[in-house]
Amino acid sequence: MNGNRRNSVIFLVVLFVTATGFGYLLAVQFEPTVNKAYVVPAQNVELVDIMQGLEAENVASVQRILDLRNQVVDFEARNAATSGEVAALTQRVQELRAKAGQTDMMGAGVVVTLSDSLRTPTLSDDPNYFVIHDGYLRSIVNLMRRYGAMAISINDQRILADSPIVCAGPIILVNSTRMSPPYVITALGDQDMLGDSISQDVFFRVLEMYRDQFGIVCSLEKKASLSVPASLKTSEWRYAKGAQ
Amino acid sequence: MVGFVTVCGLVLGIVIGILRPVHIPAIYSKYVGLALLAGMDSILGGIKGYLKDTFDATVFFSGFLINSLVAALLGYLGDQLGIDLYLAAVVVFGSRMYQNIAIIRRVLLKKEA
Repeated sequence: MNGNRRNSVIFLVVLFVTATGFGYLLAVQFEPTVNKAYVVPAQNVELVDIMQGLEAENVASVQRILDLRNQVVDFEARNAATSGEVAALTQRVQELRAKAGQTDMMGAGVVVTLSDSLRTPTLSDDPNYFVIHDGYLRSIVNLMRRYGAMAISINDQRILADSPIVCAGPIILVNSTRMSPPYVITALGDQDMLGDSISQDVFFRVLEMYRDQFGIVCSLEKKASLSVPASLKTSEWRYAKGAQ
Repeated sequence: MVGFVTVCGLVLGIVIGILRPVHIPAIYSKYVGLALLAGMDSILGGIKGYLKDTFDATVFFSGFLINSLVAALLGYLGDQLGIDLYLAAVVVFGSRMYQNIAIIRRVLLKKEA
């Protein structure tokens, strides 16, 4: 420290660089520690990449399905102009398509929102009560069907008679699409019939009890204007055929 | 002057780190943490030396850099060998930090008194 002036300058420069490096590391290291929940173990990085690639492919495929459907509707509209018979058939096809769940639907209905508890379970709690299980979604969907829902969706996935809702660890797969809370279950139909019947059903009461006791999110709203997306499934029969 | 330069460098480093963060992969994050721990130990050692008038810049810098590097490398080596060597670094540097803090506290208290 008591050396000549040149040494002192070098000392200060080195000190400055070292302090900067230390501060930089400190700030950089602080960040991943804060976001630890999102840090992916290294061996999974490859799998995550593959999965993200597949998901991007899925999104592109969904867009392609929608585009092709629009094209079909365009062709039909053009052909419908040729004769009255074709127009009537086209009309019929569109009705059937709506019944098969292949069109977007709009109308009045109810929305049930379910989400995991914001509270962290203590050691004496059973953590199962703090999360939304696939069974809850199936039960709510069944209630909606029972009370006359015309069209049902969970988040952006249309629910048809054969739509699978299954548990896959911390997430729920609906139509093989990954979903995480909140789960917004929309049903089109008679608002009052659906709303009142569901809110008075024993199962919904149990969920409300869990809400009060464990802090899960569980709400039911009647709404005058809702929309439910079209199913992306093709109407192809794979395992069953119509008996003659 | 020395204090001023240090604080400026530290603040600059933190600001750069916040503005332009390099994402450290989770597996290396542990070793960077070790290097930081060793660095903090050296800094406390430096403050102690300064207060006791035994501060030596060469010792301080070599300790700072080499301890940081060695701590990170030993942690890595330990992981490769399947031994939790990083625990050794955590214990050694951690306890030394406490000792240094205690000494600094005592020196400061004596000066105040």
